[in-house]
Amino acid sequence: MAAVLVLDDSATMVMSLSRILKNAGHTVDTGADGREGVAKLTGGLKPAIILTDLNMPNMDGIAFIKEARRNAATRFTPIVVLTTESSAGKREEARAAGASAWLIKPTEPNALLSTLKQLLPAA
Amino acid sequence: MSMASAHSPSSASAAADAEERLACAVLAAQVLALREEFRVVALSDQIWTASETLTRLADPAAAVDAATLEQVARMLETHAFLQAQSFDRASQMADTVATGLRALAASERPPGARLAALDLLGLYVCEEQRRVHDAVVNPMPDSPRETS
Repeated sequence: MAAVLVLDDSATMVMSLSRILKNAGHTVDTGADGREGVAKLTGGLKPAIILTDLNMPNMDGIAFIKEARRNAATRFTPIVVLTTESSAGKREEARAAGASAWLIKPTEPNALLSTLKQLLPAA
Repeated sequence: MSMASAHSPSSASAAADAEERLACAVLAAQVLALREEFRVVALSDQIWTASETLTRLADPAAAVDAATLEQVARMLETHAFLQAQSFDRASQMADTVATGLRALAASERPPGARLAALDLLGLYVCEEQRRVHDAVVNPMPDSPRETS
């Protein structure tokens, strides 16, 4: 299974996501916004996949994705956006920034886990 | 915020007033839309099923099997996950409306600067809010209009 970095400003979302991911056998590290995510990455964290919200304080999901793509260690790490936002414009903005997949809240746990499975390199 | 622009101070003020009234109407519609977002997610049947299953297993005559317990646990986790996401969505939508209301109530505005409905567009976090906004700003020809 994989190391997942989860970024969301909702503590309830972080807790719920962590539970789903841990029960599926993943290890989870978390942050409350993009800035915390960047700090984790520059601090040496090397997640196999990143799951991020879009609307977050301090640094939003798009800005975080751009920063992660500038970091050599996460240039090719799959990044999944889990967001309330469903506009095609935002989706395209995230894709251009380097997002690998896009899920709209609320999404079923199975849909989330199968998206991660598709993006993770085969063990 | 938009700066009102018109030919005379009084007509500029009237135009800004109209813009602000439209922004109020948009925010009122957004609050109504929130009522729907804050509804209880229609998954309560799963809670009842989980409760009934566990009650049945609590009977001394019933055999407790791990598979059934795992199934109930997964059902509850799914419910909690969906609820957390729905609540997060509703919270984000409510935050945008609150931000709009605070901008409307701001006491220290530059002279002539008023909140316009257009200013609200940058706040929205989902397509539903943009749809509600559009329905107020560009109503269908046959839809009821405010008369006063």
